[in-house]
Amino acid sequence: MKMTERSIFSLLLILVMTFFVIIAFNYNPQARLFPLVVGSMTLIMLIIQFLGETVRTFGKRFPFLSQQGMFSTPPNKEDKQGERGQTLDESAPWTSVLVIIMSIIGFIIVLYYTNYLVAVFVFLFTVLCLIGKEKPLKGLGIAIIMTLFMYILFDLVLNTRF
Amino acid sequence: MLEAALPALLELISWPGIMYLCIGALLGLLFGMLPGLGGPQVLALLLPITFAMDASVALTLLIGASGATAFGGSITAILINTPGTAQNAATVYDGFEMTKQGRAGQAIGAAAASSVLGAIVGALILTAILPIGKYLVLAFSYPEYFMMAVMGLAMIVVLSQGSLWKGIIAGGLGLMVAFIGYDPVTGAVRYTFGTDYLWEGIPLVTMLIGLFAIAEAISLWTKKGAISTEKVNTSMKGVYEGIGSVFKNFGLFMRSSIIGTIIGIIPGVGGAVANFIAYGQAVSTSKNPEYFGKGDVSGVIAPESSNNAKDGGALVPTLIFGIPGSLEMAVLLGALTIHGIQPGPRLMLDNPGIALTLIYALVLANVIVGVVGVLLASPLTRLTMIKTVYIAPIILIFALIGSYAADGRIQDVITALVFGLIGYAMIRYQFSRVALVIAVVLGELLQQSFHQTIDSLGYAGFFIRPISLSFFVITVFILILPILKRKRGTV
Repeated sequence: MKMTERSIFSLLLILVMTFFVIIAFNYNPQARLFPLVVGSMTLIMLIIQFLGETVRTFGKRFPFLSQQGMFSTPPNKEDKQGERGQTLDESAPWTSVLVIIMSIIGFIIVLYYTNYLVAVFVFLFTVLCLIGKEKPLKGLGIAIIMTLFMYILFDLVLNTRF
Repeated sequence: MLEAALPALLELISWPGIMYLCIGALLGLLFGMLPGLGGPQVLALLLPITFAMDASVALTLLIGASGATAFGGSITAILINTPGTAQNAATVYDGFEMTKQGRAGQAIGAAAASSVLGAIVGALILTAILPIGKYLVLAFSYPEYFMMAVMGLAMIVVLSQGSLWKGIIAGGLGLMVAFIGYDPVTGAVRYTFGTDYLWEGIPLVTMLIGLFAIAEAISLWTKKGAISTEKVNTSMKGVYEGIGSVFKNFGLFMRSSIIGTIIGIIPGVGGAVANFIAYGQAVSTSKNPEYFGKGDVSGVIAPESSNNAKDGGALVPTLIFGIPGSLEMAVLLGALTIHGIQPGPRLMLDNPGIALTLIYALVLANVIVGVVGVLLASPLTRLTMIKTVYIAPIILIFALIGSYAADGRIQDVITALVFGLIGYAMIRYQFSRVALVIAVVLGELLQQSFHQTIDSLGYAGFFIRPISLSFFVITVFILILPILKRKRGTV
């Protein structure tokens, strides 16, 4: 059994789906029908998917796990788009994703305690200078221009009140 | 319906409708050109902005943006060998070859003319089909709605790109998301975990912003560098020659447009499939198939006319049945609902003007971007040279503020972030986001019409009515098709 990033994601989905199926038993018979049926079927499929990803012999025994959709585009180096083509390099580090997530969480906190204009300015200036490693003056310029643009778009043009 | 045609057209071409159409079309062009972004992303970002607008103006903006992305994607496909959207993937084969041969202008001209005329063909077919929708009203009841939802789900999941198994799993996950919140038929509140926020379920707009805009921004950001590193080289010579080539190959153009429209009508298939099938038929019907892939203008005309014609086709199930024909249509369906317009058989009775506005807007948006795209192809393409470190945070800002703008609730921003992470993981591990979204959209219809059928007609209700039974047979056929295909492949 070999655990990969992919199989860990499947395992997470299994845990979430198991939780949803268990919770479904609390509802009245009519209300739990669909969550139970759909949830159980999805759970079984996820377990098979997980086993196919972790146990090599299992994956070989069940070829339908790797069967493509009927109209899936053929593999092509030029086809960089689409559901299939949009797959990302799994070696791309999750740490960089984590940094982005942390910056978004920071944005949400600033947004919650101040207002959207402050949040936009702080977020853009910070990520451009710290993550993008741009010169402070350039980061400042982009942050000011975008904040002004957001103000004009949301406050003046669309009259949105947050 | 004809009496509603002129007012709908006048409203569209009068102020401010025409302004919003132009804005939408230009934004759609821009998003289409940016690889990784497309119709779903521009719609997800624009949707919160439309809340304060009049319904017809809002839909004009959205359909303008949606209709313009396909042509936008063809520009980068032709110039830098990078399809802007999935529906332009086949265009690179001959489009970029033409660019290498110094015929970029001809390729762009052909793509522009094919896009505009393809959209017109799609809209004409749609206009011809829509009035029949009226007569379907009385024929449809709960069993038909249920079977339609099942059929839609079967098609979407089975025909989703990539792994079939994962597509079905994503569909299951989407249905579970659809079950969150209060169910008016069973009277139960499910999976809210004691929070009022989840009482009405996961907001569709917030979920879409997360799954597409945020997920896409994260994936762009992690890639570093610029969106495109290819050197852009465009020549405007031969643009008119390219436009003329569509008329010289009119038979091919018509066949491709009809293929695009038919594929658009089938829920869940979409332009990514349409352009390859159209390209395939162009090769198989050509007298000189050996020229394809070496700069044959037919290789641009076929995919570009089909992927624009499919938008008209995709509106058929969206407007008549309330089943989205593509991901863009799923978002548009959400927009219609948000603006108090219920898609379905009654739409043509209650709001014929809205349907016509959508059709006209689709055609006009393609005309606008066709003209603008040809004129501004070169400078617009330079946007793909922008570093992701600039473009990704800006997309994120628009997405997060967009989700906040919907109701001014911080929970929406958090939900968008959560779905952004889910969407990113789904891209990374090749789960179909399309299947998930369509399942979310159809989930409510599925369970409510099921319970309503059981209560009013019993289990036999699904099979004693001819239309319902027909849908059931079609669904079974759709589900066994992959099995037949696999068996044929192994023989």
